[in-house]
Amino acid sequence: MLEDEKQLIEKACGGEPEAFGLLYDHYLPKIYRFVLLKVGQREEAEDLTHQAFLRAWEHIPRYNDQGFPFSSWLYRIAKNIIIDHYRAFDKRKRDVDLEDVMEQLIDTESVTAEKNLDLKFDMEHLMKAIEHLKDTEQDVIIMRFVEDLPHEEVATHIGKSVGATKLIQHRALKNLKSILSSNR
Amino acid sequence: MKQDLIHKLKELQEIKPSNEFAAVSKLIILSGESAENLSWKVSLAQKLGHLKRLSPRTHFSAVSREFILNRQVARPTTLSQIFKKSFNYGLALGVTVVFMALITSVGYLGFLSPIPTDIYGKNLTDASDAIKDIDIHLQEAEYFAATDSTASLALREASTTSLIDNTSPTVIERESHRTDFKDPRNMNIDKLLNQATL
Repeated sequence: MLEDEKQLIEKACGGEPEAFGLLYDHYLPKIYRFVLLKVGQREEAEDLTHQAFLRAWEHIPRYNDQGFPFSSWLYRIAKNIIIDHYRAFDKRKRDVDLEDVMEQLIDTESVTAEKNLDLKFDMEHLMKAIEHLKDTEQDVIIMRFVEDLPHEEVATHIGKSVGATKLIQHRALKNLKSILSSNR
Repeated sequence: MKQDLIHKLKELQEIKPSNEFAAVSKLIILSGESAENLSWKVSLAQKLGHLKRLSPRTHFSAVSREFILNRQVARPTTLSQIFKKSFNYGLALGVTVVFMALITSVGYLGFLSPIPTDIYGKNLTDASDAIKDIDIHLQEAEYFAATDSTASLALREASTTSLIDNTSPTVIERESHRTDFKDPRNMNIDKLLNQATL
């Protein structure tokens, strides 16, 4: 969470682009990752992320702080954008094509090229496996293990109880393990 | 020498287990899951953590940011716009409230004393009074019309016939034949005629 986030939100609600700009800078990587891991295509992820922030900027005067993190509002917008995207254009999810983003995943501190290759291979498999999970399971896996959000916050984002979120996480990990094992 | 030894021994306090070992060990102890399963989960969590490195391209974020923030979104920014907006809302609300109050009060009055009975009842009374007045006036007009015709007839007779003719015994006799004196209905006429002739 940003420092003085509440004030920034209030200013953004009043139409101050600078305040929204700071919120954009802070939340862009999280929302982008969330979208990318769900759609599996970099260009598509960029388009949808852009649309999500545009919609957020247009609707921020109507934002009502109900005690939930601001990010949950952004995640919800992003999620709706993804749903609308697939529904409106009757698109099917394409296979994960992350060749150009893999470079970001390579550990630059790693000494051997072999180790980097292994990592790249693992990541590609992992991302394809995530694609096969159910929507809510994907959300939980991304938020819990990629974004390191606590159970409580994940529960808020997906609109479920903490207990239900833990159960979904358990099921998601089990499914992920089974997908990864069958792919090998 | 002794103090050096104590100092070196205290440095041993800095020895700590690796974070990874501590996390796995703690999870195994607390969860009761099999060590193999848990180590797999930890390894998966670590791999997923690598995905945090994914980030949007700098060019994309710069262009997208600029486009979004330069986009004009309709918002009441100036005081006059805010006032105008709130005035419009206030006006609409006021009209609605007045309209609702009107409907409610009419309905309430109607509930207390039904409109049709009251208004129509009063009107019906007034109308019947007016009809009575009209009847009276018509009766009077009829009466005056009859009186006028009688008077004009009498005047014409008076002008065409002489007074002597009217009082002559032959006329009186002829009239007496035409009048039934035994009829009680003519008693007043008889009296009047007697008064006139005497």
